[in-house]
Amino acid sequence: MTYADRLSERFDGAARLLPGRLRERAERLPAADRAAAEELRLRVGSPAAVLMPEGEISLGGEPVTRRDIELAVEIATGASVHSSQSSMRRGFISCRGGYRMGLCGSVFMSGGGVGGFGAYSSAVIRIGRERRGAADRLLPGLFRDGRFRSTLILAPPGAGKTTLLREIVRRLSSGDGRRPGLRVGLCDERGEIAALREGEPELDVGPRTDILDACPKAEAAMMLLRTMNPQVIAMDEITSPEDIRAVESARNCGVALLATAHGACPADLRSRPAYRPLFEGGVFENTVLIRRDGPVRTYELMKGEPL
Amino acid sequence: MIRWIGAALVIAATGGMGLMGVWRLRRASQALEGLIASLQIMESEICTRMTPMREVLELLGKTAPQSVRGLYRRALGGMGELGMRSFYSIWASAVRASRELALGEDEERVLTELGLCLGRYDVREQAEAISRVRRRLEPALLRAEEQRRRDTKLHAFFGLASGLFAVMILL
Repeated sequence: MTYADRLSERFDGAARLLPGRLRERAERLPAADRAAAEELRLRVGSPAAVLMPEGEISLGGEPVTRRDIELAVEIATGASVHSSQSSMRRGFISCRGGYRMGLCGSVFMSGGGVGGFGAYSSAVIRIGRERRGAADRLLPGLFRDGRFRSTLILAPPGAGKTTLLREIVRRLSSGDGRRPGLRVGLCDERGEIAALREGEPELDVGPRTDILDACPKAEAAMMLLRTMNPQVIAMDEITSPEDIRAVESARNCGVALLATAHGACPADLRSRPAYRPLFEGGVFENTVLIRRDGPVRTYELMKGEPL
Repeated sequence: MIRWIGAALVIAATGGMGLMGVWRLRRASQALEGLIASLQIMESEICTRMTPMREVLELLGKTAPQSVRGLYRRALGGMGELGMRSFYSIWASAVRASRELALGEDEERVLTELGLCLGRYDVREQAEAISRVRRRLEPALLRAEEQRRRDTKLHAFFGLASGLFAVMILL
């Protein structure tokens, strides 16, 4: 199976999360478009659309209805909203196969926090994928004196942070002729990185990776530190103060970190007070910036202590 | 001799019909009892363990009282069509097809409507909906047990008596 075939297959998996009539439209897309598609988007009152590297294209047909999105949620949760309740309160559903469905609509509050959705207005299915070889040129620069150094991947949403994180985790865990594989503890809070299913990762994260799935990152990092003796702890999207505290604690335990954060450049992070402890403590020694020009992504490695 | 054999066959046939009536009454109350017990398990699985619906149906299809396993197995079989059909439609079809439950019109409607809530709402609302269905089925179970107590002997008696009566007339 070629790489393009694998990408088309990933798209077909995402399309299976759509209700019947929308699924049929998505499956009619040419194979090349299916391989390049990044997201499937549903908005009530507009036809379903696909996000391509160049922008959104409509799938045409009848506009999406609220019922369509309800059905998509039903498929994504396996008619088990109760099992996905905690993530739905944060606006997303982790689906089988490593897909993530983001939701928007009228939210109701309960007990001082988001209780759930009253009515859905839009949904997006992100098509997570493996890009083997994406980290080939980057990886040697992430080591110093033979040791992997804590690295932050920085990019705006949709630039491919999770994909790059997964590939670096896979490479670190696998090792190569020059370096032995490392024990990586992976905090996969949204189930997007490894797509764990019945204990087995559906996406390749390497042979020496221990995964904590669906667990808040802060707790997951501490659990991994206590129980799995990791050499590297990897986590996606550090955003909350708890995540940042977890990163600091892990670093103080002498473990290298690999994480991603939303932001266009280090200055972006510096301007946000929540991240101040990270750059005051010099937690990350490497920063990788992802730049995107249409379908082409380039990685810029900033060494030293950019934060 | 042939006459006596014929008489015995007539009595056996009518007696058998009477016993069939007894068995039907017993099956109806057993099915309702099993249904209520399985809904209790479903509520616990959803509320305490947040078990996904597919696993709940699989579990009940294997471990629920024999009389109600078919309902859960049919619903589980329909889960493959999720996306082409709503869960409500899958559940409603399973309830409709489960004739062995021998539900009355009201009980069938209440059980079908449960599908509108199952898997769609949060834990508390699903628990309330399941409890409500159990509460609605309990009077039906009491009625079925009462009917069984009342009519069991009647069915058996009429079965045998009608056979004897027919034999007496024919002989």
